[in-house]
Amino acid sequence: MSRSSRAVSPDESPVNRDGDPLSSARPLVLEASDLVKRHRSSGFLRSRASSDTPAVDGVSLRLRQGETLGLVGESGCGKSSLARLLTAVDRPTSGHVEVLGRRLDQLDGRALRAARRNIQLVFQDPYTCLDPRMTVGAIVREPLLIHRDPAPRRDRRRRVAELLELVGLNPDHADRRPHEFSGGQRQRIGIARALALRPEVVVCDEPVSALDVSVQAQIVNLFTALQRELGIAYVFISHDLAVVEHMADRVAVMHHGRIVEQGTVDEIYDHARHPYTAELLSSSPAPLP
Amino acid sequence: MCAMAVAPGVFSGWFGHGDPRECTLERSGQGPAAGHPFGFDIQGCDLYSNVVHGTRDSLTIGLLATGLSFAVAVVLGSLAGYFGGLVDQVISRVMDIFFGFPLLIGMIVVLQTFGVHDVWSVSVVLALFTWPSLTRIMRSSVLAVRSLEFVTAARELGAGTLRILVRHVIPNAIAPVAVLTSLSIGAVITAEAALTFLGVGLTAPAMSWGVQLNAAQEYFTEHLNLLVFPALFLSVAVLSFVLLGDCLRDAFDPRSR
Repeated sequence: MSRSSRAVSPDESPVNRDGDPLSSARPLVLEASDLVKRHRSSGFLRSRASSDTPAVDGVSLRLRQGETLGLVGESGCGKSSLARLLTAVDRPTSGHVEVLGRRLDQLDGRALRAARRNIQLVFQDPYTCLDPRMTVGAIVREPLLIHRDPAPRRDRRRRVAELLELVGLNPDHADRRPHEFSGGQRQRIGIARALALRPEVVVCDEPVSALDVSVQAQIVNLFTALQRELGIAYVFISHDLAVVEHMADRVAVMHHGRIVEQGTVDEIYDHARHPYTAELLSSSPAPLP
Repeated sequence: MCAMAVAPGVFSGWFGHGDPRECTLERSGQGPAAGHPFGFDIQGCDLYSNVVHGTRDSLTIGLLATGLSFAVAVVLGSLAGYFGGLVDQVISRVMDIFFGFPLLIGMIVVLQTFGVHDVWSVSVVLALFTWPSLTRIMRSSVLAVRSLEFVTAARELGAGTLRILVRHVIPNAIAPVAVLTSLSIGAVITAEAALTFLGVGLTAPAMSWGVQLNAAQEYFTEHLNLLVFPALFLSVAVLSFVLLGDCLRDAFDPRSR
């Protein structure tokens, strides 16, 4: 249980350092080891300047079923790059990602498509993450069309209605287009799309930071309710420490592409060991009494 | 107004003497008369029905040439914009080559090598020189759409490249190039008239506004009506397509539906 004070990759030894003895009984759903992503500078004129720092630099993390890992750090620290690696939108320069024991980073074509069902992404910007030309029903139905087996043709309509209801939207509005909805409602549509394939893991990339505070609370509550109901594990990325404290079981602090500290909410928020964590905590405004 | 340019094709019998090939040389170049509102051309044919029948070839060339270049532009522009890299390099360099040609001279040279100057060959040559600008527009709007998050979302769901392009990227990127295409129909009709005027487009038994303007160039000082009426129809048609472009732009905005 003693956590190493070394900065990088605390998961190297087989000893469980999750800091939560309860969750260690549950199966691992997501495991990333030594992920590195270097963005290649393109163009033959700039190829010399390849000494740039990697966006993600040796990140390792584990996630158990039904657990929430908060990922905090300042903007530009590589949180979103990490989210894209975990969901196989980008390929890592090195390291690997395992979802339910399957390597996601090496698969191709059909196998990759099948493996992707288990890990889904919720986006930051509710305005650009939905195709403006499609109806809400079509957006939520699309995952079911790409992956044929989870819902046979005749069940799709019902499943879409079910999903919209699940995220608190009126299923009768399935024929409307995204621009008719508010930011919070659009985010719910994005969540419904992510849940369509019944994933084990949902990676949320700043899902509430584009919303105003009252709507944030509703969406955060929706996330926790869905977790209770469906047993989903979240990687919850945010720069808002208060939201992460509310949501997360464990917290990982990211700085310059590395995870500098990882532990339970109490460990991080009350007994931060790494100077950057302390700095981050002290820089956020104190909550009102 | 948008439909007006297409409609005249069926109008030719309106003022009685509908047959454009029924000519009497003694009426050569006469002004408007009863049943012949535009007067007669140099061969003594009814100018009104000539102009009306010219609509078909002029519009066919305009639509065919822009249709061809639009299809090429959508395909190549999406490929270049979406895949980038080598595909983009090759397509963009080919476009640059075409941009380097002086347009009219290029078309004249290519048309000279064609044996027949019919609607098809003229359309193909016109399309050959209009696709690069349309492709460039398509490429840049695909570049903009590609980086939006709903494309990432589709990729993350496991959608194939074809599905992403056809369902998400092209529908969201096509509006600018569609509007520009409808604008260039007018430009293409004008270019066809210019080519014919220069003697490398359609030739005499065919009827188009360009042919009529070409015939008029020797006589318009005496018979102004030969120049004015085809030119008037040409202008109206071009204007209509410009307006059609405006309508299209409004129709493509998902917010207005």
